[in-house]
This record gives sequence, structure tokens and C-alpha cells, in this order.
Amino acid sequence: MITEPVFEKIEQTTYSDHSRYECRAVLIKEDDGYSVYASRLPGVHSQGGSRKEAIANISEAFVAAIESYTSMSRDIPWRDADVDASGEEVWILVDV
Amino acid sequence: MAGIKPVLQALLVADHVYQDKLTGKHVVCGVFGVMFRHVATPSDGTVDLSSDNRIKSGFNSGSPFAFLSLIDVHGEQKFSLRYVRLRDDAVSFNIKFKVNSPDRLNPCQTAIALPPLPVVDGVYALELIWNDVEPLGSYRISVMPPSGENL
Repeated sequence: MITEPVFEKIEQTTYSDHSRYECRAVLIKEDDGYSVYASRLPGVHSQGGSRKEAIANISEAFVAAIESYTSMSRDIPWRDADVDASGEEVWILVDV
Repeated sequence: MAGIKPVLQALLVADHVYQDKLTGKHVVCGVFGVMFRHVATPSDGTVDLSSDNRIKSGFNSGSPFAFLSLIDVHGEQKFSLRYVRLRDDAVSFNIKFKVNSPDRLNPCQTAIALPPLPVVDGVYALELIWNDVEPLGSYRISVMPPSGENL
């Protein structure tokens, strides 16, 4: 007998005020942890001793960069994704 | 990274998805990748420019459905469906759900009701994310004026 998979919706959130962004980042494994950069926002880099820490750090750096551009009323310089082939791409939901 | 990464077999956005309860088969109707917007024309014939971007044409895509099919789902796994405007990666909505599959060889198929999609010109993606951060796949939708209207 085949047991059917079970789907369960946890939550649904809609955003109309552009307060949520997706930070696309690339994790690169180093000898002593991970380096990480935002693939669509130039100049946003970070690192971490673990994968989880690197993801948390790049999220903070991404939010700081977005807030900096918006506080100065400057356009955010999005670029086409620059993905290092040796890295792992992660797409992180961030509040700004 | 914990566990086997699930494989996305299909991700579609359609006007409706029905399910035959007897066989479990899904019937996916009105798959689309383009949405046209036009200026609303009230019954008195005047054109209400203030309601631009609120009315769709071509199909009833106000609250569509996503159909998805996954394999290699083992045990309980968390997923998110995000709708993202690709110009600036702004997120319109995020739907979190989990799937519990006792056998990873079983295909996992479902339809998920989506909120109304934004109809402001641009290119969007409905993305399926695993474990909050790992992309499994995406489905593009373009919103544009009807043919003949300038951007």
C-alpha cells in the first residue's frame, strides 16, 4: 500500500510596501569557514565560521546596504546575478 | 546541509487546478506566463485611469493556482513559494508549507491557491525554496500592456 505524502500550509504573508526583499547570495567554502557575497548587489560581502553564520551575516549586510541607499534617496544599483560557479547559491528572505 | 535535496519536477501557474478525487489526478487549466493589463472601461464608457493596473485581460488570473510536483522528499521537509519582482528582488508574497512523505520515491503533487498577482508591468518569478534558502526552481510571469499599447 502506498502512503500518500501530506501537504500542510504553515503561513501565507503578502507584502505591499516593498519591505521584503530576496537577498541572492553565493556561499563559498573556505578553509576556516565560508565567505559570502550578494550576487545582485555590488559591494555586499561577508563571512562566517559556519554556513548558518555566513547566511545571517550576509542578511545583515544586505539590509544595511539597502537601508543606506534608501536613506540617501539613491537608487539601489541592482545588477545581473554574478554567480561564482564554485559557490552555492542561497536565496534569503530579508526584512528591510 | 541536512537530508536529500528534493527535486522539482514541475512548477506551473494556472487559472485553475482541479483534482479528481477518485483517481487523485490533477487537471491543470489555463497555464500562463504572460499577463496583460489594460485600463478599466466602466459601463458608462468613460475611462478610469485611476484604476489602471487593477484589471487584467485575457484570462481570469486574479487568484490563480500553482501546481507543483516534487520527488525525493523524505520525511518532513519545509518549502516556501515566493513571488518576486526580478527588477529589484522585492517580494510580493511568501507561502510557507511543509510536506511529509514517508517514501522519497513517491511523487508529491499538489495545487496551492495564490493571492492575486500584481499587475504592474515587469517580469516576476514564482520561486520554490527549500529550507528557507535553497532555490529548487522558478516560474516566470511577465506583465505587459496589451499589444499595440506603448510601454
